[in-house]
Amino acid sequence: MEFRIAKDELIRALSRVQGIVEKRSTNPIIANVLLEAGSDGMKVSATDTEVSLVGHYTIECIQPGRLTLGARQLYEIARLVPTDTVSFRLPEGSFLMEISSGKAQFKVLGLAADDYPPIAEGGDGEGLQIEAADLKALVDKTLFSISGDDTRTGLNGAHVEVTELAGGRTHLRYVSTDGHRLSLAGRKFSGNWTADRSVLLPKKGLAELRKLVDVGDGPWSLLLSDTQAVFSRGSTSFSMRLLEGDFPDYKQVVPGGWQRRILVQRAHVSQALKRVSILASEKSHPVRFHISDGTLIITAKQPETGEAREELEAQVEGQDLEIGFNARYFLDALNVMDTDSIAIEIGDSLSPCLVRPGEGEADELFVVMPMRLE
Amino acid sequence: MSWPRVIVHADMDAFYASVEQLDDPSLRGKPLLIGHREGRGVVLTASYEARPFKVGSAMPMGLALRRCPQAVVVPPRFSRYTEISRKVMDVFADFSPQVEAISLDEAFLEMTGTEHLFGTPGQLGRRVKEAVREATGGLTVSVGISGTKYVAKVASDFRKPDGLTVVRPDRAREFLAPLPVRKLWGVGPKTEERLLAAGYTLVGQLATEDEVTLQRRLGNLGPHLQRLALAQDPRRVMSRRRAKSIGSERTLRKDILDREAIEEHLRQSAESIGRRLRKKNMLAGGVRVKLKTSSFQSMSRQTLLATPTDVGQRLYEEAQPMLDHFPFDEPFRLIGMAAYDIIRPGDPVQMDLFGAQGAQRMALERAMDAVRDTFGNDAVTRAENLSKSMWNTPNLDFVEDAVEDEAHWDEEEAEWQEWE
Repeated sequence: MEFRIAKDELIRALSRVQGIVEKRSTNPIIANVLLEAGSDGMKVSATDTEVSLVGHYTIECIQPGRLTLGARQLYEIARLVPTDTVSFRLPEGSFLMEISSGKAQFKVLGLAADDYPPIAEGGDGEGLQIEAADLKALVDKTLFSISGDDTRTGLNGAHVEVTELAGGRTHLRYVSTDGHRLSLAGRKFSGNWTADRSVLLPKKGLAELRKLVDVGDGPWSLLLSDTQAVFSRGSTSFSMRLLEGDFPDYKQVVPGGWQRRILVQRAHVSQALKRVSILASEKSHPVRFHISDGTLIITAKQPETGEAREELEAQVEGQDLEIGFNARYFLDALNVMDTDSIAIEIGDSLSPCLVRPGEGEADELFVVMPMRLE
Repeated sequence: MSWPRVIVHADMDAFYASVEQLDDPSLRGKPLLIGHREGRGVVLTASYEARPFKVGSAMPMGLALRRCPQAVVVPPRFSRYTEISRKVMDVFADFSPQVEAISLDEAFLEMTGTEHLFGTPGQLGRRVKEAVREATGGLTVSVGISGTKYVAKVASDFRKPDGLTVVRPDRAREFLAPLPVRKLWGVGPKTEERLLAAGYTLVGQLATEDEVTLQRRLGNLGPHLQRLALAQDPRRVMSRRRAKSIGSERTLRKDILDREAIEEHLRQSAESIGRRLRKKNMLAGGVRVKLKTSSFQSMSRQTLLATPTDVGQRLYEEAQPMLDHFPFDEPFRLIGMAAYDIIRPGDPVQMDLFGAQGAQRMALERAMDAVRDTFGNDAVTRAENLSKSMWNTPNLDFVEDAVEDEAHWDEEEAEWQEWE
């Protein structure tokens, strides 16, 4: 195996796999990337066996071959080599990759390519074409409320629903919840989808996908197999294993009506929450909303530290009410919304509260369960 | 003799220096000065290796370095000291619901009425020392035990480092008498000068002096110091901390390795903890399981609950799978469980979107509480708990709680006696 590659291309190949390879696994090969050089370029694969990325990169191939090398170390080398081109050479039958750049030389011990775990790739079949901006929005609006607790089966991923609409259109919906709040975002696409389907996508996979989507243009294609979701664009293929477990019946907890409705500027609420919650307990950030005619007052109080209060102008419909929230949950939702105004719809102080865009037709909503405050 | 009060004063030995030596083995055995070398820095702590050179806390760093030029100067890392201090205070809280932290490295423990739990004061002291050493990975604490705060404090200083001094209350006067007057609480260099000028050099002299004479010579300070000299100090151990955990643990009469038997103990603990949570209208946000092996290796695992609970069955369901994470290669001598992240009445409670499924269990356990309150603890139990007679030693239920007072402590004793 022997090839030459531009330093920039090598950095690009390796930087995007750093979040995927797993250093703490009992299987050391999981910390490696698989390099496969051929006359049509080099394929670079990385996997933690749940989430995998395969990309193709331009090289000058002298002798085809395959080997796995430590992803972290190789990335460090790529970033620090002194020349614009880096040479790789693996003597026949050896696992010691010789890397040279200018006067710098490395010999890096790899592991056999054949031992690398198999990776699901796009395969055949029609995928759903999603614009990068849409995919980015769907992930952004739901990633934060996925439960970080892996023992919470069903809540440790985003629930993704694909539904066929009339007129050759398809609806894609992302929903996530950690049991305390819920986020929902959808987009419509032209293109047929043969059968309605819902899957659970892992948090790590979506977080990595989010990074990939940020770079480059053009639509992504989504394919769902029985066990994998594969997102691909051009020569890049990113796959994640579908999570087992049942997502809860989320439609049941999305409030259907309201008794109080507050229309308020998103930035105003956001800033007020940030200020007031300075005086709220750091553990659960409890703040109180005092809703009355024409105003929303947000307060926080801690006997040991003090209190804060901020009054906001708002359009209020319905009766006066006091209700407690974790300020963090509210801020997380406000952060991923795009509209200038938001509508907060509340039943009573013990029922789920709905936050939605105050204007426009955006296909998104956020549910925050209140806190019980004395 | 029986002690009217048992008070422990625990004082970590050269705390900051010992933490640095714990974290950096290359510093062990070397004279160490914690503080900043530059400017007008003072020594915050000197390691015991530095003390023979007559350097100590509050001494200007320059002077300390002239006396002990080979000393290594280490800048303080307070966040680390706080972290270790928290572990130490947690250990103290395992012994007593009333812990008064004086500083990061020093605390009083109210231990009155716990002889049947921890043994004689001497045994208690050794347990405290061992528990601190275990929790910190090797730090030593000097412990003084007596019937008043003041004598306990003097006693902890009596044989430093790694000391244990027990002063029986009826011997406290004798113990104090030969000490120099500067050992009296509140006597600084100025007061010492006054006392020496008035002819008092030893604590014993103040104890035996006529009160009127003392008042005349020293003013109000006189009688105050005399009371201390007579080992009279009615001050209570004042804890300011809030409940951090509610636990239940027992040391077994015979060490066991059988997982099922351990599960039974946990189930019992879970029920006891659940019941106490409900009685106080508290909820637990997390569960911790603690096991100690025959060779005194203490291990614990903990988990946060998705939704805080006061249901014993829920606590057990969280605790039971944690057993998978303990090595079952040596028998266990102690089995314990604690609820932590305690939510008290009035604390904010995050409600669950998909809640309500727990309501039925809560109702069941509250009904069981009511039966037990009326007909006694054996009146109702879960079928799973009917199997073997399993009470090996007293169940040591503990509450790490400041706001609780003696009345509460009595209640815990009663609970303990039920298992005797």
